[in-house]
Amino acid sequence: MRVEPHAPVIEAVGLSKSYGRHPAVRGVDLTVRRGEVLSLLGPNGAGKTTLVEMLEGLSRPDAGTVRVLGLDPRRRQRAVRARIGVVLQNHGVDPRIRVGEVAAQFATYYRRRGDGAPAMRARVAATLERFGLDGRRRSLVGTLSGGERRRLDLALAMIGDPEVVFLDEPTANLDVLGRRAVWAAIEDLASSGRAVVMTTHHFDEAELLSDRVVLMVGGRILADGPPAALETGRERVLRARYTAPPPVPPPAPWALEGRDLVFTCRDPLASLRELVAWTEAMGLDMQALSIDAAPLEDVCLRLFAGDAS
Amino acid sequence: MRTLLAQFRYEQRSYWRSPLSVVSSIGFTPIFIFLIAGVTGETGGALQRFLPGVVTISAMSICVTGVAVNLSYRRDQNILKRFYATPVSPWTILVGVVLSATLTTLVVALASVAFVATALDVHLAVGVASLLAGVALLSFALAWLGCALSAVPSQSVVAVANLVVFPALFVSGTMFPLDDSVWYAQAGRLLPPYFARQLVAPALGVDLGGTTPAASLAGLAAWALVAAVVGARTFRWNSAAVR
Repeated sequence: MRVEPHAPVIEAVGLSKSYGRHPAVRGVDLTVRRGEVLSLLGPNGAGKTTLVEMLEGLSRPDAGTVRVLGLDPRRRQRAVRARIGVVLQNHGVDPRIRVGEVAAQFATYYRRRGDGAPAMRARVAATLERFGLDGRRRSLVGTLSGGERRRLDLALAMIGDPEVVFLDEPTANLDVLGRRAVWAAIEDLASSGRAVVMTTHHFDEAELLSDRVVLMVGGRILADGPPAALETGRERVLRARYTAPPPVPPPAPWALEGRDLVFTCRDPLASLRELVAWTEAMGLDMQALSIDAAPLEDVCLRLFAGDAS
Repeated sequence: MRTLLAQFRYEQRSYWRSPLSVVSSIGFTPIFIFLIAGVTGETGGALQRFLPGVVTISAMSICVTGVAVNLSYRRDQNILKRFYATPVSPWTILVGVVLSATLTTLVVALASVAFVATALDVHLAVGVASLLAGVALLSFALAWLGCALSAVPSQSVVAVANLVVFPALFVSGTMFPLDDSVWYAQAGRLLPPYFARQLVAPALGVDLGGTTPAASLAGLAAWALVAAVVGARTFRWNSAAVR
């Protein structure tokens, strides 16, 4: 089945799943379009992995329906899995196998009619090169660094040339360099027009990589939209830096952080007028002034806190 | 078929690259033979009669305990789940594991025979072709038992495998001969190790009496069928309790 550009590739309606008496996902509706990068953000236990596993067909929903590329991923498991790529939360590759061997092994799982041995070898070589693993081809998986293992996970997910890619916490436990390398790989996936569904705890990578962010708490979707749209209605952080710390404390609710006066507000212009008036009255010398949207992390934390209360 | 062959190669690489697997499987027979020689005081050709039992114990260890532990470990490490997330069929994975365990047991059986023949200077009247066929058949059947046992959670799989394997080895008379008149010895004649030993004994030039190779093969095949059905029905990709 061909999928039109920007057509929905994932359609979930009323998805629910419980483990024993604990509800993990509660009545989630979600649509993901071709070429879209969607991040699922939420605290531990929010239901992100359970939701992704139901979309992948790895887990059976208690209620609701899922269509991936127009197919039910539980009833048409092999047909769907031939067209999706999956990166699990945990690595899941035998440490005693060489990088080139595991890539070749996974390539056989996605072999298409008419794929000969030279084509398969070329596909493996191209995929390893794309993810910067061609130099590690003969290395045992157990000897790879954390970042290399994650890149291998991405390579294995991509070796079948999938139309939809699911990434479950792709940068978990990675250092800064490892994260940057994985980000580059995800940007590469996004630029190739595939749909990418990613779970993450990192607000910065959700903001940087995603077209759309879905906030989940307690198995439910709390907010859903582009990172920029989530900024709408965000509070602004007003920060003034002085050449020296003010000699008297600022009026509440302004807060003093070293030489900085910081205030979170909804009406930055009114607050700015108050700030200028106070600065002149104190005879202070202002060195810098900035007004920024509150970080996505703050928005999420407030939403999470509001939901918890 | 190509995927199955690739899976088989993958399993073999994984097995032989584990130093513990190599040492325990290849080193098992010399240690066992020396122990038997030490305990019984027998030497040379007299030790030949222990070979069917040694090969059977080795096969039970590789195919039942080894396969159960291997699959259970892989389930815990998400290795099975990683396979599950691809289009590969579960049967390809399971048959790959079973065939790999079969080949490993064949290699170990041949190494055992070679060791006994050379190190102990015993002339063995061994039919290599019938030995290979017998060991292959019993290993194939026993490995399905391993798949069935792998449904046990990894924390307890070794204990449960030992609980199944060791009593079966004892009551089937594989560890040492039993009085045939006792009830558990008669019950033991229905168990896989008994059929396995009976199947392989003629190829090793040992006459144990009892069931014929054909009847032993039928007995093992029945066990293999039951184990394959149980293994396929209870097989889980995830370590989570309910998915």
